[in-house]
Amino acid sequence: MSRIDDRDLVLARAFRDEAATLQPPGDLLEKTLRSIAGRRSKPTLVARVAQSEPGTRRVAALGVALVAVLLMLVALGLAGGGRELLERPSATRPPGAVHHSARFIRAFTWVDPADAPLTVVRAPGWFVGFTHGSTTVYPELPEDGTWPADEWGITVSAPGLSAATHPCPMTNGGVSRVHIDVTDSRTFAEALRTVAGLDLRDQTMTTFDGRPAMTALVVPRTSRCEGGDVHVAGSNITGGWIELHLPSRLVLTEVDDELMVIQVWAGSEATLEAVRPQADEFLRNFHFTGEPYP
Amino acid sequence: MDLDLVLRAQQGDQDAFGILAGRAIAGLYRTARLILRDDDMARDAVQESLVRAWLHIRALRDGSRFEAWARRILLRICVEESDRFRRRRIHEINVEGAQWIPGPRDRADVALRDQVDRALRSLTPAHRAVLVVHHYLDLSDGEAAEALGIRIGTYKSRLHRASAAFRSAMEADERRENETVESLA
Repeated sequence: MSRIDDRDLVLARAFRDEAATLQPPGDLLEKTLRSIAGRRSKPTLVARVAQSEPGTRRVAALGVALVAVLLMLVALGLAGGGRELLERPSATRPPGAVHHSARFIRAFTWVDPADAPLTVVRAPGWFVGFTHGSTTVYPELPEDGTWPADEWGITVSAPGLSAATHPCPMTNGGVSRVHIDVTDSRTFAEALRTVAGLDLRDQTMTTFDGRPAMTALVVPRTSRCEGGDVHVAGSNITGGWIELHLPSRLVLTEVDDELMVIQVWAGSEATLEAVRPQADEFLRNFHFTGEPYP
Repeated sequence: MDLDLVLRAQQGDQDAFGILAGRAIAGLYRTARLILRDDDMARDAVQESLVRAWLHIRALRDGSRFEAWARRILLRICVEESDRFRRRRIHEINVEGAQWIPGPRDRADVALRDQVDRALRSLTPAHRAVLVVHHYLDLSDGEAAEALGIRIGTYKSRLHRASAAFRSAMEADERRENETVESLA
């Protein structure tokens, strides 16, 4: 038998032996079931159509066909020159221009701050990140656990009904994520404070894009737990998370009853304060257009 | 039996889903743990996969394949989303400890097991996943590709690269061991 075969055999045996000693934590099932309690599974498109009136079914079939055509067009756009809203540095866009993103659950427009061109690094259905040329929404956390102090960016997200965060404190052996209330800005902020244990300061009711909104500061260094994050709705492709280990300014608002979270984050509190003018400029020029994601 | 439970779960019966999840959870956890090499990450991945399974159970067409379907969800989470679990780990304290229970093995076996573990940890989650699917789950190429959500050609080439990477890591480890022994001699 060759050496290669020996190694493969070793691997197969190692997996088998290791698996034989592994048991899931005793409370994993219970906690998982608790986290889905009261939540309804999503009806399939077919089920929704089947339960509807015949006239509605015809309209739905037409809708499905239209969506298919739209998806084809999007795919063609991605293959060609249609990526400008997905991953194109703002440096290549004319300064001061109004940009339009339709790849979010609610379309929006924005204008880059005059002296801080932004790059859209991720634009799935529920999460968009704006950075300064980075290829990731947030910087990689170095081994020493210290964020790069000078970096900053902005995220726009729709947490959705699947939003989950890590409870504080972590219970012994606990499954680490729980779903949180995203009914409105107030309940979301309350969940961040009471469930995730974040120090939310300066909670203020205001308006954003002409809508009632709440602003708050996230201060990780004084939070009950070291910080947290919120995993937003979506599938493997469209998922993302709001990193709350970072000093952040949050703007919470609702668009057509859908909670939206705009986060200005920075590697340090000093940077968060220093970039306030650029961030405010971005926030002033940001508008949801109200068109739902197709 | 499974068909009935799946049907009931699809009609909103969480108790039925609980039975299905209870049957599947040990296999899912073992698979996740073998791929992710970490208790906390495996726990998160299993929970996430079961929550998604519940939310999308009505999309399951073949009720007899619940476990395979849940495993497919899990594998994709392990491969595509393990980064976010890893990020969490930095901030969490493992209060439970590892669940490895050593059997009655001689020292050589333990050393080999550690060597395999080090080699596996040096691979990417995607590479570990194909190795687990091939060597542990023992799926056919077609089943494995479907489970991982990739084309069969991609699966085969990924398995080839993963095996090569594993062998390289093992050899590098052996070289380091030999150098250490020589330097002590």
